[in-house]
Amino acid sequence: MCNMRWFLCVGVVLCAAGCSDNRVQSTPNPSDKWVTYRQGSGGGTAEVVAAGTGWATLKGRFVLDGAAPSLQPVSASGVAICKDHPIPNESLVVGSNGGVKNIIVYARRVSRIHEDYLTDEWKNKEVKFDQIKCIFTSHVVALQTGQTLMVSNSDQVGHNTNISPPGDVGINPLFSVGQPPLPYSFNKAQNTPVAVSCNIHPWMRSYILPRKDPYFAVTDDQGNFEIKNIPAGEKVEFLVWHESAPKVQGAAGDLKVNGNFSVTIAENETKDVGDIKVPASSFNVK
Amino acid sequence: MHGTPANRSVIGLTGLCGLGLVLLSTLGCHSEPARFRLNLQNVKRQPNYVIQEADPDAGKAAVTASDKYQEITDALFGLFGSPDRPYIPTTSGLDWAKIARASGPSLRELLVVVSEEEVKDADGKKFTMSNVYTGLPMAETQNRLTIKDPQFGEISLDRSLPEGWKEGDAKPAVVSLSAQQRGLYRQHCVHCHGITGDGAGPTAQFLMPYPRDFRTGEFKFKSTLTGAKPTRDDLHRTLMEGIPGTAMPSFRLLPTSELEALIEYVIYLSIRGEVEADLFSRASIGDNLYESVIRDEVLASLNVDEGGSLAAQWKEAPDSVVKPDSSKRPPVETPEQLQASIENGRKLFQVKGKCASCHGPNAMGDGWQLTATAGASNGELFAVPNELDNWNKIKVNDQGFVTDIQVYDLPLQQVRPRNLRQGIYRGGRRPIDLFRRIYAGIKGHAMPGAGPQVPGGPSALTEEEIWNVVDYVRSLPYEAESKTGWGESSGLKRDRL
Repeated sequence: MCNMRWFLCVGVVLCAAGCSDNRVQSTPNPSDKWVTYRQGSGGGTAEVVAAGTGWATLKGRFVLDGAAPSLQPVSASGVAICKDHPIPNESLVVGSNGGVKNIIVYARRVSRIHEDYLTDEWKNKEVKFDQIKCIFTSHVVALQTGQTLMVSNSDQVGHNTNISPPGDVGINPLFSVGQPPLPYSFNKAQNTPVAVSCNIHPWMRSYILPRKDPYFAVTDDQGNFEIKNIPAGEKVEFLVWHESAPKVQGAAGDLKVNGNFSVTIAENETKDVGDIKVPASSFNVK
Repeated sequence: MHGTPANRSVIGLTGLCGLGLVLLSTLGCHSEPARFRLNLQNVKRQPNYVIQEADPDAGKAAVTASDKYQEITDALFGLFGSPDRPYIPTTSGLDWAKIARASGPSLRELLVVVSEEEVKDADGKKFTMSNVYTGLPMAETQNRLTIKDPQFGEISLDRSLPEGWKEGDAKPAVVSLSAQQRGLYRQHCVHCHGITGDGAGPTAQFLMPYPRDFRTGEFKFKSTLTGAKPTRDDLHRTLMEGIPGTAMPSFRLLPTSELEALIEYVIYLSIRGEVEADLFSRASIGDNLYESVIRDEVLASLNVDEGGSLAAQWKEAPDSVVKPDSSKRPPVETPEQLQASIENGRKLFQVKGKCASCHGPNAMGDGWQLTATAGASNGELFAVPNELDNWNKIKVNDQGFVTDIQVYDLPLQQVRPRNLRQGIYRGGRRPIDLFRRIYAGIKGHAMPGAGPQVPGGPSALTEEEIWNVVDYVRSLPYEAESKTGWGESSGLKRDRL
């Protein structure tokens, strides 16, 4: 009898344990709005519409607020050829004046594109992507979909270049010494950069951001960026990305950056937002 | 013979307990309809995950993570339906009837299949969606069929053929009405691959390697170029042969029609997973998925006619099949010729092909890559998480440390380079299988492709050289382990290459 009671208790506990399913909790039930996806029509209107005229320029600079961490070079001891070169840790590159390199500033969505960006000359610009001394020479790259990325290996050692953009056709070529460059282009725009790696030399890491529109810039050695021919007279939202910052936060006067910022620039104006100070604590360096 | 009153009361109580137990189990554990779960790994992949803050100037309320989960769930349900009632837009080029057959509970049921074409019911209500209705129709005449739909209630469908309809014309609304075995995926695959196709079914945790998570859209063993999707033939081959060295068995005994239904369903789950990742990515930068512009972009990825779309990648996979040029096969008719090819392959394996850095100088899967280290900012060395495939890679950060894994993720599993002396080849043991593996590499894993990435493009090894490596690899199981890649045979010294 006692055994039975005990058995019953166990049964209840087991049952309760068996029925709780953590997996389902974060998956809500569909709301009525699923119908618009089924029908392929209806739903909200476009968020970004051409409200202004003319074009404008945005420029600024990202500077580190605080002491720059000293990053040790990567060890490649025992690896042929690579061991002869110092391999810098590029997870946070700070210029002599405190400027932060390799931050990407890119428009989330634009209403229109300047005609200079629609010419064949612009579209046919090649972007070089080389490997030498056991690193990718371009650590952070932004380009447009359809633009040619010339992947090459100028090194004295073989590499592979593993580019696997989600939802797109990737490549992972083995590059022997002296092999001719391989032209590659992205079909699909990405919302965050695609990590590129060489699996033979696992410290090699690079980031490529393919975008549908040409409104992006990568900060230079001094932390400067400039984006020309932005739609003027309307709010344009820019996203800010850095490989070591989960969210780039900072401020320059009234402008607050919290992973993104929005500006409205008058026609023909060149808006210099000045120095955007990013606290050193924003970066999670390795 | 009869029990005493005391005994009887014991028996009575036992019976009551048993009944209670049965009742409680029934009440407590009733099963909900099967659901696809959200892939929250997509959140981890997006370090910039933006939850919009309230913007009083624009009259916008704050957007929370659960708002975004709702948007993603809605979009996915609209485009793909549920595990019991799947849906796929006709633009995708997928055969929805096959998907429907593989879906749902494992039952022999009456299927009523309504075509994608516009269907009007008795009240003139229009339905432009394909759907599957299970169970007996409520009423059926030659020209009219009444069924009860959980979504739309009672629907009366016109089955009559249009006037002047003849064979070869567009199909009438009701395309089939037949009893078939459905629920094939839940019968054969779900225990390992999971209801969502996440490779995390109940059995998965006991397996090494884990079952494939279809949601990344990456398949390792295929005949196509590095970046391309597998063909249906590739998936058929995997079902027929199984994957040697893993838990994946052969499903050779199933009828072809059932295998085809399962292949279509795997493609459906895979496309669904990739669309889901795309939706998470859009939500991560603050896109509103209910917005028509965004929806049109998402729908375009399911349109076979859109160049480079997911649907087009699957449709065009057969164009990317690696077909070796038979004139470039080095002659191996005589033992001398074969030995020459093997020796050339041995050299290529060590240096030019870079094979040894992962597979090891002895081809035993123990290359220096397995112990590769890199320097951290504090000067310490950390193991580089290179020997992980894409399905495991998301679980670690760049320092090789396991990041916060969601409760339902499977623990980290290292994937070793193959020990080529065992003679077990997961992607198939035919020479052509090995050729394609070396030519195109292994998608979703570190193994690069030694052949051209695009037809006619530059390549690390020529076709002849790849055949040399194939001959060498095929000779390895029969070679003494002491005979290594360096030393007298090739003139190479033991060094890290």
